[in-house]
Amino acid sequence: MILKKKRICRFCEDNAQYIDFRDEKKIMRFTTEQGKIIPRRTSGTCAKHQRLLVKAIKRARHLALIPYVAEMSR
Amino acid sequence: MEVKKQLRTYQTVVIIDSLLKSDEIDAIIEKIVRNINNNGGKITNIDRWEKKRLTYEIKKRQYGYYVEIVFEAPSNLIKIMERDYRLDENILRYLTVHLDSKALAYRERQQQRQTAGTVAAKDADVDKIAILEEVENNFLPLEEDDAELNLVQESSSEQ
Repeated sequence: MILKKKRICRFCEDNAQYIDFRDEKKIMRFTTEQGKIIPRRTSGTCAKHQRLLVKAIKRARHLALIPYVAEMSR
Repeated sequence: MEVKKQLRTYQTVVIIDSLLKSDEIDAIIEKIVRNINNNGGKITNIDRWEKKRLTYEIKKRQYGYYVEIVFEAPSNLIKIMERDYRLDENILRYLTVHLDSKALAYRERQQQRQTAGTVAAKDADVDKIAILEEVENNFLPLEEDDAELNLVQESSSEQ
């Protein structure tokens, strides 16, 4: 049996009830370099906070605060 | 039965073309504010994020002027407001969201933290100013001496 180290949801740690789309730096941490949303299984975010996070990311993308697709450095 | 018009709190963020002159931007903001006030809304906060770089181009623009308005309004106002946004060519993007109790609690907490921060910063500023004044007072007579010295030097060079 493989024992995996359990990741803790970062938002649960600071008891977040709302994730603000204006806080682009915080949100950017949960996207890849390309701008994709990091899945729950990788980031360890709990279901509740992943839902809030996804909403915040999509709102921030709409307002051009974070990219839909980031250009890779060539 | 009488229908009670409930006011809900909304947050709207508008990206205005930053190539406009500042008074034109002000006029657009004023228009939005007037629209809210005339239709039974109540503004609680206007926050200008100023000019920001867009992460991707919108209508060939790389920069946008962000304005955030938090207001209370009946739900039918949002429809009117968003139609006006769409009709205005100088508005690049807009987003209007309803703020629920959790979001409001979050904002309040953040504001408290911010005000605490600014008060501390202001105190620090006052200290700095006091120090600066002292420094200036100490240095003033010296400068006068310098001026006299210069005069002396000039007169000596003339000779």
